[in-house]
Amino acid sequence: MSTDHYETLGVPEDASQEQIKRAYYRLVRQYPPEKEPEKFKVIREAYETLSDPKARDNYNAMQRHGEEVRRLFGEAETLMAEDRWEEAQRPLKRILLVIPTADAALNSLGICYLNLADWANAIKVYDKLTTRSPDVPVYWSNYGMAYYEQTEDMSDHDHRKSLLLNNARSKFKRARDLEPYNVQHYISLSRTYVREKDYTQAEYWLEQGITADGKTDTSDFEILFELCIVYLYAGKLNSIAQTASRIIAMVPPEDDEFRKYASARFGVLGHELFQLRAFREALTFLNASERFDPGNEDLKEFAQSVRSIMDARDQFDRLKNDPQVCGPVKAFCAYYVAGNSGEFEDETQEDTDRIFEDVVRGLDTVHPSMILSSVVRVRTSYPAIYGINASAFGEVERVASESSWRSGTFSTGAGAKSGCFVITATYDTPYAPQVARFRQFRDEFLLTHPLGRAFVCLYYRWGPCVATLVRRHPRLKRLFACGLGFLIKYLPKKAE
Amino acid sequence: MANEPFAVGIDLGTSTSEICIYRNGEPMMIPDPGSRTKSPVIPSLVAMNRRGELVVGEDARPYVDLPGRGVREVKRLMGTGELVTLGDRDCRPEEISALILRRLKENVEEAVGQPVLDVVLSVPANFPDAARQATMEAGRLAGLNILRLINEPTAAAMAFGHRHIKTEGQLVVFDFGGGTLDITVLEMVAGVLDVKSSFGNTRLGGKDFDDVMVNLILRKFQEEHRVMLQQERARQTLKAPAELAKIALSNSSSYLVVVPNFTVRDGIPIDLEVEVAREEYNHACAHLLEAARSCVRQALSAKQIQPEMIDRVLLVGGTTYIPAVRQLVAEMFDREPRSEVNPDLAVAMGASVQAAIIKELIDPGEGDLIVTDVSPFGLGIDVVSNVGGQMMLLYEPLILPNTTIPFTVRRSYRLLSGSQGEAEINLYQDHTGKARLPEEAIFTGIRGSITNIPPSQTGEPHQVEIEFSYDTNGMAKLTARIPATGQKIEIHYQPSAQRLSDEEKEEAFQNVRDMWKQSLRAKEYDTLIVKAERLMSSIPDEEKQQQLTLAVSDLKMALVSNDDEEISRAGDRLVDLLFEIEDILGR
Repeated sequence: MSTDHYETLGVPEDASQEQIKRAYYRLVRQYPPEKEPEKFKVIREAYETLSDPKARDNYNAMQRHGEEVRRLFGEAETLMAEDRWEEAQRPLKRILLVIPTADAALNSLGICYLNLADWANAIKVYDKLTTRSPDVPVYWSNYGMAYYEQTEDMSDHDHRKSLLLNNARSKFKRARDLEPYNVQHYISLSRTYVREKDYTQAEYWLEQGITADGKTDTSDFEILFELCIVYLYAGKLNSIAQTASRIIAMVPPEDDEFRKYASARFGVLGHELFQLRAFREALTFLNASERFDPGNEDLKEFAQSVRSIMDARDQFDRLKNDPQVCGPVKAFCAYYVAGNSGEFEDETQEDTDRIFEDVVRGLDTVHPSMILSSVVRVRTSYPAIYGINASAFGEVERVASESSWRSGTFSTGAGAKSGCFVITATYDTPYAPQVARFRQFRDEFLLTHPLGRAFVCLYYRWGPCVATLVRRHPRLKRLFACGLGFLIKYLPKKAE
Repeated sequence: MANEPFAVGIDLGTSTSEICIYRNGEPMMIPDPGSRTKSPVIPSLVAMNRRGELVVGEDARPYVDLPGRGVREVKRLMGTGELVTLGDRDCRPEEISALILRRLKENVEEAVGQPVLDVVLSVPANFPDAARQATMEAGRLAGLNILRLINEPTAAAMAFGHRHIKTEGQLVVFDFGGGTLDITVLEMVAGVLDVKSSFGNTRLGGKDFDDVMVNLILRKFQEEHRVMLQQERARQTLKAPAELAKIALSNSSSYLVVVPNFTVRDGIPIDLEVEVAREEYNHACAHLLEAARSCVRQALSAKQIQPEMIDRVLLVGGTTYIPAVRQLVAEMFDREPRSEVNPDLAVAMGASVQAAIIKELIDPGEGDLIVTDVSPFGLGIDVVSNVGGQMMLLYEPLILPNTTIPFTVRRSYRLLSGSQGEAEINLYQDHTGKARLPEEAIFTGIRGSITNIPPSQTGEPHQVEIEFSYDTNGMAKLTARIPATGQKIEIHYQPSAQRLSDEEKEEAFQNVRDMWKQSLRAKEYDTLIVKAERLMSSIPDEEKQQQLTLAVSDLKMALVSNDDEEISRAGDRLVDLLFEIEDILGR
C-alpha cells in the first residue's frame, strides 16, 4: 500500500515546495476528487506529507532508514524492559542521529536519563519535546517527573526542594490541562505536595481528580487509593475507613476480572497500611480484598495473620494489667507482639539482638515457677499472643518447668530474692550453655517476619495491572510512561 | 432554449435566502416576484396572514412579528428539535424551512418553465450534523432532491473561482451571515480550489447585531421617557425597525428610528423617536466584534497562516455590510477587502456551480473549476486505552474535522483478551476536533459488532483491522476485520441515518400535508386530493405510484403557498395523471 510519495506526485526528491504544490494541483485537475476518489486520496496523502516540512523530513528519513530505525527501536525497548538503561541509550542516540525529530526515540532516551538519575539531561530532553510537541501530555508528565524525582532524598531544609517541586507542579499541570481525565496527573500533583507534607493540597488535587471527568466511576478507583495513603500520612485514620467504603461501593458486582483486580489493589494497600502499622485500617482493606476474591489462598493467609496480629495486640492491652503474669513474661510477650507487628523494622540487627537478650535475661530474674505459671496463663488466657510463636513459648515453658523443678530441690520456699540469686549464679558459669540455647532459640523462632512474603508474590502476579506496580515502583512509572507513547489500544468488550 | 439543461443552487440563510440557476456556462440569480424591486434576495420569513394563509418572504414581513403568527431565523433552530408556533400549530423547523425552499423552487419553475428537482443546498461550514440532516429533510419535504450539501464559504469561493479561473493564490472567505460566522482559508491554483480549513462560531451573526440595536434603542428611549415597558412586546415591535436602522447606519453616520404609538403612559400614546449614531452603535457592538476577531485569530493560527500570506479576502453574508465589520477585516488582514463577490448572492451562485459540476454541465477537463472540500465534522470510534495505568474508554478519531475528502484511513487494534468473543464498534461524531472521551463526542446511533469470535490459539488477543473511508457525499464506511479468523463487518454512515425517527418524519409530513387545508382554494381540490390519496396505496405500478405521490404533494405545497398559477398547474397535472391511472378511456 505504501507508494512513493515523490513518484505519486512525479517530482524529484529535492523538489521545492512550489514544485510540489504545482504537481499536486495539476494532478487534482487530472484526477478530480469527484471522479477519481481513490487516485485522489493517494495524491492527497503524498501532498500532505511532502508539503509539511517536518512530515517530509520524517518521511525521507523513514524511507531511507526505516528498517534500521525500527530495528534500533526494538533493541532499545528490549533493553529498557530489562532495566538496562545505560545500554539502551546507545540505539536511541543512533536513531536520533539519523532522525533528529524522532520524538518517540527522544522520549525513550529521556526515560533512560530519568532512570539513571541524570536529571540535567532528562530536563533538556523534555524541554525540547514539550517545545516541539506541546500537545503531548506524556512529555509534560515526564518533564514533571524529572523535577519531582530529584527531591526524593532531599531534606526539608534544602532550599532547592520547593523550587524543584514548583517546577514539577507546573509541568504536571500542563499534562493535566491536556488530559483532564487522566487521574495519573492528579496523583502526580498530589505527590508533589505530599513531599512537602502539605497534605491539604495533596488531598485537594486528588479530590480534583475524582471530579475531573464529571462522574464517579472505576477510573476514580486509583485516586481513592492514593487518597487513603495521603490520609495515612496526614494521620486521618477515620477518613481512611470512609474512603474505603467509598471504594468498596464502586466495585461493579458482575465484573469478575475487575473484582479480582480490585481485590489485589485492596490487598496491596492493606499490606502497605500493615507495614505502616495501621493494623485496623489494613484489616478494613484486607477484608474487602478477601470479599472480592474469596478463592485467593495467599490473601486469606495474609489476612488471617493480620487478624491474629490485631488479636494479639488487643490481648496485649489486657495482658499489660494482668497481675497473674509476671513482669519478665510480659516483656517477653511484648517482644513478640511488637516484633510480630514489625515494630523492630527500623532497628539494627544488633539492637534487636540486645533487646532480645535483655528480655531473655529478664526471664532469669524471677523464679522459674513464676515464669511457668505466667506462661501457662498466657497460653490459656491470651492464645493469640501465645500463638505468635507457640514453639517459643512452649520452649520457655519447658525450660522453666525443668528449672523450677531443679531449683525447687535446692531452695525450697525461696522467695524472689533467692531465686534471683540462683539464676544469676547459674548465669555466670554453669548455665552458660543455656544462654547459648536461648540464642539458638532466637535464630529458630524470633523475628522471622514471614507476613507479606506470600503477598509480594501475589503482587507481582498482578503485573498486568500496571497501576499497581507503578505506584510501588517509581522506576516502572517511567517505563510505563514510555509505553504511553505507543498507546496499546484495545477494542472494548461488548458494553455491559 | 426552454429545454436547455440547468443546475440549481440554493442558499437557505438565517435572514435571507436565494436561488440561482446555472445555465449556458453562467450562474443566474432568480428574482423573487413577490419583491417590489424584483430582488433575488428573499427574507427567510414565514408567517400567517390576516386570512390565516401561510405566506413566505416579503409577503410575510407585515405579520412575522405578531405574536404566534410568524417565524424568523428558523435556521438557528435546525436540528435542535425545538418547535416553533405558527397559528394554532407547533411546527418543526424543517417544515418552516421547507416552505421557504418551496417558494424558491417555484420562483425558478416560473422563470424557467421547467420543474426543479435536483439542487445543491448550502449550509454553514460549522453546521452541526443534526442541522445538516434537518436541512436535508426540509429539502425532501419541499419535494427537492438534494444532490449535495455544500459549505457556504466553499460555495462563495466557487462563485469567485468560476469567474476568475486564472487567479492563483490564498484566499480567505469571511462569511458573516445572519446566524453564523465562518472563516475559511482556501488556495486556488490551476483552476483547483483547495479548502485548507474552516473555522467558525455558530452563535454569532447579524441577529446578534440586531439585538444590540434593539437594546440600544430601548435604553435610549427609556432614558428619555422613564416609562415601564412590557419588555418582550417592546422587543418584538422593535425587531424590524432595528434591522432597518442597522442597515441604514451602513451608509450614514446616524439614523432616526421612529415608531408611532410605541407605548402608552397614563392613557396617552407615546411615539418612539430615537436618534442612533454609528459611533454609538459600534461601541455597543464591541463585544461582538471582539468575538469575531478571536474567531479570525483562531482560524489563522489553526493552520499557522500569517495574514500577509493571504492574497484575497472575500466578504460574504449580510453582516459584512456593517462598516465596523469591514474595518475589522481590513485591520486583521491589513488590506481593504475588495468587493469581488456579491455578499448576498455569492453562496447561491457557488452552489449552482457545484450543482452544475455534479450534473456534468461543467466539464473539469476543459479548464473549468475543480474544488476539494473538507469534512465538516470528525467521526471516530470508542476504544479502551491505557491511560495513566488505567483502562479507559476513549474516543478515537478516525477522521478529524477539516480533513480533505475523500479520505481513507487504516488502523490496527487488539481485542482485550484472547478469549473475547464479541467486539462492538460504536461510531461517534465530533464537531470540535478536540473530543478525547466518548462523552465529549456525539453517538451517531450507528454500531456494529463482530460476534462468535473463536478464542485465540496463541492466547494473544486477536488483531482487529479497521478501515475507514469518507467520501465527497459525506458517506462514511467502516470495515472491521479480524485477519486471524477472517471475520468482517461493515458499518455505514450516511447523511440520512439518525435523522428524525420514521414516526417523526411521518408526523412532519402530515403537518405539511395538512397545511394546504388552510388555503382559500382548498375546497376546489379537496375531492381530487382525497381521491388520489385513496388510490395511492392500491396502484401496483411503483413508478406511477411515485408520480402520483409527487403530484399530490406538489399540489398541496402550491396550495400552501397560495400561488394561483402553480395551483392550477399542479392541479392540472394531478387531473391528467389520475385520468391516466384510472384508465377512464380504456374502460
